[in-house]
Amino acid sequence: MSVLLLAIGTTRARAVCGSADFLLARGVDVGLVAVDAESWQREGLDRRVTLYTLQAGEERHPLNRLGRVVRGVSAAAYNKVFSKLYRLLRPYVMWRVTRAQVVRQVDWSAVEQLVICDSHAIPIGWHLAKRHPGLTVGFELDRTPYADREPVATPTATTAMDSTPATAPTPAPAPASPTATGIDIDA
Amino acid sequence: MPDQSAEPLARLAVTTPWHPTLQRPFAGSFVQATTAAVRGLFDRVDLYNTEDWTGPADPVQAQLVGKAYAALTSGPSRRIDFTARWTDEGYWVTDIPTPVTPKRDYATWAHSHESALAPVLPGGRFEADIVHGHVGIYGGWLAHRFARPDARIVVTEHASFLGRILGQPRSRALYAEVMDRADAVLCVSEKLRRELAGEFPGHTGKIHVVPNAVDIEAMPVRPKPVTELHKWIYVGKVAAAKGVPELVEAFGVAAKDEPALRLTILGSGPLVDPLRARTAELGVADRVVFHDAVPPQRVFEFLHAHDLLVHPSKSETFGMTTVEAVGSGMPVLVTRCGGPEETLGGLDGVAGLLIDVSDDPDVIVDGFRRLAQQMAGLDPDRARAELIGRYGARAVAQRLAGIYGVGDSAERNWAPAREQA
Repeated sequence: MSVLLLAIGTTRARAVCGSADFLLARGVDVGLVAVDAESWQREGLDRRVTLYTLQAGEERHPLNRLGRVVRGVSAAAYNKVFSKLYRLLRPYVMWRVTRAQVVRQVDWSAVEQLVICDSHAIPIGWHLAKRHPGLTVGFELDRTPYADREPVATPTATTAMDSTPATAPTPAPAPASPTATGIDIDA
Repeated sequence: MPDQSAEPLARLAVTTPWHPTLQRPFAGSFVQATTAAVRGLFDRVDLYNTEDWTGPADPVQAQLVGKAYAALTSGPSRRIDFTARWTDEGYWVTDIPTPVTPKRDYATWAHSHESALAPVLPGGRFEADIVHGHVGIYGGWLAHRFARPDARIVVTEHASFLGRILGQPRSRALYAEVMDRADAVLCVSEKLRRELAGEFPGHTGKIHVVPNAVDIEAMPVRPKPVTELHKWIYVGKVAAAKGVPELVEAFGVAAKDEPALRLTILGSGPLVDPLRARTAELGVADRVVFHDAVPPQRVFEFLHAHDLLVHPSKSETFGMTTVEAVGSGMPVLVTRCGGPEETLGGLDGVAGLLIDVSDDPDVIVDGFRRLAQQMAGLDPDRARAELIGRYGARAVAQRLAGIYGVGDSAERNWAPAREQA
């Protein structure tokens, strides 16, 4: 049994990492469809999460190959015309790459939930939902099916939530986290 | 779960763009505290949290996201159902991700929230006798759009960006509709009330000052009282609008005369690196610690480990950090930047010292020295008790009961949510 997370950007990394940790601690396999692996490692995603990355496939896509040709001929034409056009077509390209790679790699019979984790992932999530009519789809992990399972200690679990030092509040400079705001919010 | 056999009271729906979630565990804690405070007044409380999910800025891509979202969440072949979850605070919460497009106006975002909320509501409206919207745009707008015609609408305004909303003609027009429909508009400070009354003079009679609840009773009091003001702390966003550059400069001056002084800046923001560099230039880098933001429940560990909260902000609608510090028994040195002179009204010299908003760091230095001389006059126990009387859950719940129009039953049924659940 497994849960497949879908996140094109890292804007909601804290929720993604938190959901993955919750599931892994309860013995549930977790997959994440993302653009690349490096940014998720930086966000502290547990290494036991199976990553399905789209970056290589996107670079191999014919449209991208055409882009490299255009850039070789004229950087201005690439910047002023091609890149703008590609921005419009990128969601389609990403879905094509997902379909060609991820859809084939994932054992869909074992997937219990598909969780769409950010705004950019919604179109791909919709495509996947259409292909798998019986699959449970949501914007947040439904924890109910796993609520009764006792979490087991995990040696490698490091999450964005845990990124703040657990030490006493004495001088310990910590890395700035763009997601860790919220103190003194008046609005 | 609530006791369903209890005598039915009214139903309350709360709509807010901020409420703690896995992604934003610190967001909207004031909405959470206020909703928990009034939970006992109602048979059922449902909170709808329309959370911004920032999407692509490109219009075509944004349209694709919008269409896919609509297909997933509405229509006969919808794939995603939003279900309410029960919270420890004693009410139901439905989290509704709302795709929004950057670089648009508040009116556009308000309509995005409206589109996201519409398919979630059974019958397309709030089945509640009272709808409480947090901030005019978006919560007030959603209350206006989806409340039953006979429902009472209450809006709490506490947005620090209210001026930006009212500066956009389309957004202002939506706000005007909210003001027309609302039965009561609550501002968390007199400063905000004056601002709103100035913008909508025809509605002055329905604008009141009612703060959000702050669970001061639950705040841990420091184990040992403060006896000296050596360890300063700032808590909040590290930004120019909060006066942090002036604080660093002031610390540089004060630290020359007082070798025991230390400063911790707790928070994140755009000025962390520049200010870290500035402390080196001032020769106090080894006496200033920059620490990343921590979850709200950990803030008190930091407050207890320091002697003085310095809050030199240029503007605050309320000033939650100051209230937390006083609630924990800590002296404060805080600017008269709007909210704090109200929250600490009558407590200048008791809870700490109020100083003028200024770009001159010497104002902070002078305030610190005066406060150090007045230490004997501080009365942290009295200050905490005063704040509980003003902002504690029971005090705010009683004021809201009157606003909601559930006064008598409120008195009879008021109880902390956890006791009822």
